[in-house]
Amino acid sequence: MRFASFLRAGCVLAASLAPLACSTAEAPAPNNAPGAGFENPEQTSMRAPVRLSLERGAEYAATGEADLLVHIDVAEPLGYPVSIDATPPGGARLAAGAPSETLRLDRAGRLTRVYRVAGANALRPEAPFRVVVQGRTPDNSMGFYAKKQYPPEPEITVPPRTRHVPGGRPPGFTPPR
Amino acid sequence: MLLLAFGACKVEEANNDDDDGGSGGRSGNGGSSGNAGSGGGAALDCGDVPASGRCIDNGTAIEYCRTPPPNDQGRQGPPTTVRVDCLAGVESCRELADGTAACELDQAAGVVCRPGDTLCEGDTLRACSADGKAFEETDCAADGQSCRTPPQQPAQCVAFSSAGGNAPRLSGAVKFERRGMSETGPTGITVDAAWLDFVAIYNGDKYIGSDVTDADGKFDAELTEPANEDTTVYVFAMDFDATTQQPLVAVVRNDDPGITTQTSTDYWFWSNKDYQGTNGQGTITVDGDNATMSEFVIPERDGAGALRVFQWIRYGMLRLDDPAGLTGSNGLESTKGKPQQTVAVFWSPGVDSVCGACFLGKQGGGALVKPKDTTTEDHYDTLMQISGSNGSPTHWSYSVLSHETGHWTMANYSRSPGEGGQHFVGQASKPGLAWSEGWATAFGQWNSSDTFGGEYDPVYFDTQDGTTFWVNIATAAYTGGALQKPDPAGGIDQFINENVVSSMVWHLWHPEQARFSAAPGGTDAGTYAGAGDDAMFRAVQSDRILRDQYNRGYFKVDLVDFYDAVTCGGGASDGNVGDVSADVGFPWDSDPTCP
Repeated sequence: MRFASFLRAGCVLAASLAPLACSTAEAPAPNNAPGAGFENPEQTSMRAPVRLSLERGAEYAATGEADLLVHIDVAEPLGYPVSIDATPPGGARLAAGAPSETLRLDRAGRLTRVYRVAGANALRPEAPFRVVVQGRTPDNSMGFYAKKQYPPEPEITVPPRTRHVPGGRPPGFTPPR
Repeated sequence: MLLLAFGACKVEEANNDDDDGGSGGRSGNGGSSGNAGSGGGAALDCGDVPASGRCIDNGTAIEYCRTPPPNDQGRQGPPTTVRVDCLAGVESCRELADGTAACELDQAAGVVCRPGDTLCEGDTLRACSADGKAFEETDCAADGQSCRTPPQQPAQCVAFSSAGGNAPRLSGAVKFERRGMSETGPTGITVDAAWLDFVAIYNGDKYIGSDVTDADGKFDAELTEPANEDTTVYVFAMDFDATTQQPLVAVVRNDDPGITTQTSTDYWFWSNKDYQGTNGQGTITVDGDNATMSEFVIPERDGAGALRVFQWIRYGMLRLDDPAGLTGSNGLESTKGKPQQTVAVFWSPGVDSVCGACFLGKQGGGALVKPKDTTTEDHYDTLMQISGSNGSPTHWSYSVLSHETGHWTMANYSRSPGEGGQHFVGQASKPGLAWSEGWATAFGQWNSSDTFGGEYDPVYFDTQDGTTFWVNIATAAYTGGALQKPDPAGGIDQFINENVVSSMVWHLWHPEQARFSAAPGGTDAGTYAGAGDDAMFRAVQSDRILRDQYNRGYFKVDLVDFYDAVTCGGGASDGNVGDVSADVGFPWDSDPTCP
């Protein structure tokens, strides 16, 4: 399935929102047909229904504003309502883009939202711009909660090994238990 | 093109994707080492080469079709034919009962072991003869010794005896930081007992004893010599095969996130000495021949996620075969005492696997662990890859860890359809793929059941790249979830959603009125057959599933074959299967083919 029709649908849905609330982005071209793929001995994970990615867009030096692009990649049609909420940290504010919106993600593809943030230079990993997209079936038996922040959290880095076990591991001794 | 080989055999692979690493090779058990490989030829189109592999060149090698998983943009790389050479003169390729091609000992030529291999069976030392045609046995106990397998050395008789109840001992406890899972992702940190971990104790470089931690994280090790204040206690996320005393399962550092990563340079372990400066943790107090170690807590920042990964996978294996009763039973009647394939689990914090989380069976060549600055080489039959980044903290998702263990159970006790490709939460996929995934999820939720105050846990949770999602397999197919349902008027070989499959298996497996944890999606829905654990595992191990001659419906093993097996074996009635199928609209035809 390709994305063009979905992208149009996404923008129509957002037509009533601020001008910056919807834009299109170059869509990836996955083969989203159910069951698509080749013979494959690896058992890969069931794909998350939705994935978010954030990227920093245009900068507006005169106003100190910057655009943050939120890409919503939908792996499969979702038959339940979905909401998106964008929250700037203290010291920053949304100059454009709806902070909350209800989405219909009933087609696979990519939807993009653009938020113009005033005070974007103040964004830090501990004071980030946050986006949450979530939805669930009425009985709550299925659902998702997708969150992303900009800048991203730093990953844990395990300190280098300072100790070494003789031989790298214990002997193959199974003790009495 | 990247090329990597290890072990007793060599692997050749070609791929035009520069991001795709090479594939490891195979070797015999016992960590025997081997030669490096050489370059291979290109084969970008698998043609009729199956994913489960086939024997080529008069049985001297395997070739199988491997397709890289989709990348972040969902793009699927090209399939690649991979060649695995068997060890000349010792191994030959043959097709196993499940249809998988594997390099096995050439029994037709009288080979029973790999030359140079040694192992301990109790206190009997068994050494493979130079021609591989016999084991030479030595009774260590006859000389008052024990059989042991030190790293970097062959198994051997050593003086390792104690005076029974008068032997010196060291006891202590280990805990670790972990997170749970919720609808919004991993929860806050809690401190929990480090259960099932291997504790190894050393005076300097001398190994003096070991134990496995109990459900309270406690250990009590018998020692060959008394501990002292400078004794070092190491905690490993690994365990050993009780028969061979070789490594059985371990979490190892994921040095390279590629799917084809099959070599690690380090096991995950921690030492009491790293925590002795923190509130008196890990301090050893000596009282004559006995010593105690104060508890220490392994924090998340030091890779405690490896302990969580190990705990769930090891628990799943032990629920099937647990000779020492570590989990409170010896396993299931239908599985205990049967050999288990060894598995290396690749994980590191901040590192995501290309596959998210996955299991690769024996046909992939296994994995090799070569700890840095040692000559130790441990070969594992199979491998798992588990992601460990902030966005994909799979180490906290016990559903996924148990699900991957479910794939291991299928490879170990049954047969995999060997069917891959992308698959989705709500949509139908090929019946073989849906069976493999559906079984793995049903097993996984069984694995995490009974551990929460006796409750059942039907909610599969996963977090991928910042998205947490869940499916309640007890209710989603019944009470308004968003799963694509089967067509009641369709064929038994129709494409089917994997969570619908896991829902049917779940309902066939568990008793009615089962208690469920307080979980998203409510509690109970549909018909429950209560066939029980052993009925499930008798079915998946039966000839009805293992033998191609009985296959019906879809051409690969799938739910229909399982249904046939469970009814043929008497594990469930035709009415039971019909009821759980009718609830979700699957057109069960009540016409099983029985051996």
